[in-house]
Amino acid sequence: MDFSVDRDGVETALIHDLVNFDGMRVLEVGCGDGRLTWSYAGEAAEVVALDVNERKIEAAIDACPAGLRSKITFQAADISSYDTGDDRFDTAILSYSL
Amino acid sequence: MDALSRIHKCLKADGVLLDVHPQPENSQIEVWGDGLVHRLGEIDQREDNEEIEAAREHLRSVRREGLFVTEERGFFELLEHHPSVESWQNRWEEEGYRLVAEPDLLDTANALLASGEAELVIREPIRVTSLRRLAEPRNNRP
Repeated sequence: MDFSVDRDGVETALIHDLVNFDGMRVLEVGCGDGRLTWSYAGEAAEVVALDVNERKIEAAIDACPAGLRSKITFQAADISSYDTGDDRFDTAILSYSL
Repeated sequence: MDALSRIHKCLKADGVLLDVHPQPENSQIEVWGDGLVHRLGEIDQREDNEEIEAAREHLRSVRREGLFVTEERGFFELLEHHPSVESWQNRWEEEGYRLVAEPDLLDTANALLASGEAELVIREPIRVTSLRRLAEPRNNRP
């Protein structure tokens, strides 16, 4: 048996109660291995997922479900120096990080 | 530029920030097996809790500056399920969490898990807050 987190989907249900992800451009800060990312990316139009830890970004890229790969861009980056230019996001998620 | 100011710049005028953060409380350790829940105790997370309090204060400060306003808030318990103490320790080490628990507690967990039919459960309280971006910080308004 491997470890699992939030297998009953309580976290997923609550974040969907608070935010409508349908068709949204989402910036996730501190995406880690992508566990939270998979829970909403299906509804989003586009996701940029950042984490300062390159190893975690590599793990997230490896674990990304095939159906979500075209929507999600993973980057090893620190939000404090991240430049989106004129591209603005509808939603940002601070995922267990600040 | 700090993280929250950068996020403010990255969001559209009426964008939403969703903050998902643990509560500044110790996580609980349990073993589930044979239809029973064994509550073993808690992890000493004093240092992590101080960091969470500091992050909350930072969030309060950007609200005072007028960058964001709180819209809604919710709470839940995030449950991690592990087949062994070693699995939990490896996961937390990878995540960079501090793991401070009484040796007796870990021994008890190992004994209860020895049958292979039980699982270790870490129960962590989480707060989720949605905040609406405000167009202009207070000190920039006419």
